[in-house]
Amino acid sequence: MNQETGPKMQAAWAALKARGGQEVALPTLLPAALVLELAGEDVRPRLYFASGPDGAELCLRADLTIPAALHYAQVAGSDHEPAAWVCEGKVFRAPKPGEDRAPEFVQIGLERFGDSDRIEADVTVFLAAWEACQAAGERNLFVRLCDGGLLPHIIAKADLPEPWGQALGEVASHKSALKRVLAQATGTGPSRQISALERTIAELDPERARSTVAEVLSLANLSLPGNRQLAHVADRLAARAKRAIAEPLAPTLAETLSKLIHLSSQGSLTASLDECVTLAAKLGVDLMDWRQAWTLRLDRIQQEAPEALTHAHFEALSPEAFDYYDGMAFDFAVDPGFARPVATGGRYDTLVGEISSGTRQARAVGCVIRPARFGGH
Amino acid sequence: MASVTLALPSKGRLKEQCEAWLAKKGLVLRQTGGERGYSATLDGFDDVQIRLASASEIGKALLAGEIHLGITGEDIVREAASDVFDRLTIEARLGFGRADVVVAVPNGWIDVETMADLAEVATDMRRQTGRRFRIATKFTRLTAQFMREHHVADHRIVDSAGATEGAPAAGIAEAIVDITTSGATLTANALKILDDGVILKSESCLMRSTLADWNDQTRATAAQLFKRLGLV
Repeated sequence: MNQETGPKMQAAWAALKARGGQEVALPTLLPAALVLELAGEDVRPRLYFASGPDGAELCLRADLTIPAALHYAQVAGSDHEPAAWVCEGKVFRAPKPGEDRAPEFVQIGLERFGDSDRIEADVTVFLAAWEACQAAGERNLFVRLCDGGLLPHIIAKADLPEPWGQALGEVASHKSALKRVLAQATGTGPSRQISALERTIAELDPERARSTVAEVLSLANLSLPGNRQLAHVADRLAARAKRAIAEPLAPTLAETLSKLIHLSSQGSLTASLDECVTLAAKLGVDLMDWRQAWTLRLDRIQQEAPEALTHAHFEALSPEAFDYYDGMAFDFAVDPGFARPVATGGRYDTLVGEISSGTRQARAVGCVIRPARFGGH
Repeated sequence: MASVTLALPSKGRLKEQCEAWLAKKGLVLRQTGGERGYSATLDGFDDVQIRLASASEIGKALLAGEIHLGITGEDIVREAASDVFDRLTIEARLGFGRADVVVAVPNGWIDVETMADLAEVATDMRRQTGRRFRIATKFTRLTAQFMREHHVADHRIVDSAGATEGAPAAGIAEAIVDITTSGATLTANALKILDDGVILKSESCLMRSTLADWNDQTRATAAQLFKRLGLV
């Protein structure tokens, strides 16, 4: 336990451990390529890099979630093997321009893997984070609840006309891409002229489209090196042309989707969840099971920490920065804009699979707390 | 007596072009220590100390405030720091050393013409393969910023020390960001520049470090030099 961070952190740490979990030391040095692959290039300016004696490019961990998922992928004996870990340690993140803080700071966290009861695990992690903040004397925290799995589920099940159903489905978990495709679908995005070739390709069956593209590439002496195959180019050319000539998405459907994407009511949680159900119903999607799951989560939180829901609101999509959260997600902050959250957490069921290139799968949910932000710092 | 330090490229075509530009303004550069020496004098400007260095060293020294003035490529300083214009000012664009920093993809990608296309391909690739779209470049900072501005989210930058244009054919990356003057090398490697894929139109510039040790004397010397160079 790091003593330098004071009694508030020790109180938070004790509260976190009280929710159960084995203390685990996580790796500090990680393969840089893996971190960039998982977290994306936006984190690059914040990372500290190091070279191994063998020339391997490494970086210092910038959070506890990726090293926890990596460690789990290495030590778990089977898929979904249950584990609950509490971890504590420094993470290393360069300050943004104008940000006045040290480049290294302590995080404490709880990571749970393989729980068969997802809802109970979600609640446990939420309460652990809440109790840790309370133990540190954090009062009047604003709580934001999100669901990274909601939009992908709705779009996959919705009765949307093609090509828009497929185009939206492909980017459903990606807030900015979703907005971009929705703008195209409503005819408000940048319009483009399509060539005679594209128009032809759009009307062919996929096999004929591919052979036509192969012929064009061969005649024009164009090359296609690397991972991107002829089928990718032909299929995307066809999809892009179909979108360019397709009827726009009906305004009522587009408006409903847009309302879901932007749903961020500061009012009652139940009203927001009910609004999701109503909006999804307009798209032909029954969200009653989803609504029931949230009712269970909120009831459980209400039982144990009713004050956690006093300043809580719900958003349909996770903030872009946490794009590995694919289910319930939350953050707590002193400010209602959530610029400097003291705790963040959520479900990341696909991360272990991604980190292990598919060799290990595990349901997972976790949270981290930043003690340096206690007291409104 | 405090003098103004002016750094110039130490070799190659850039050095010749700098000398020719100075000569056009009636200024003769005399290298001390012969052709291989790394210092020089400028006729008529005893208070100007000339240092000869590589273009990248000049960029670093300007950004660190170690020299007062220098001639180097805009691409070099823009890549080296995010707050570049807090640390230096561009006093003159010199019309030589032109090089565009561009985004290029294999010419067989007939479905990709714009950065918006690239953003879609990157998202598709991650969804289909679970892997991010790779861009090989030595311009990691400029590339990351440009991709952010164009909402290309699902990509990864692969640091490339050299022969970047060969990266797609070698299977190291799907796309590249590199400098080009005529586009001939890109064409020879079966690559094409995206319609809106010009990140920076760079050229050699005379730059003034704002962090250097400026006082009344050095300011006066620099003002005289700028006057002679026709910059005021």
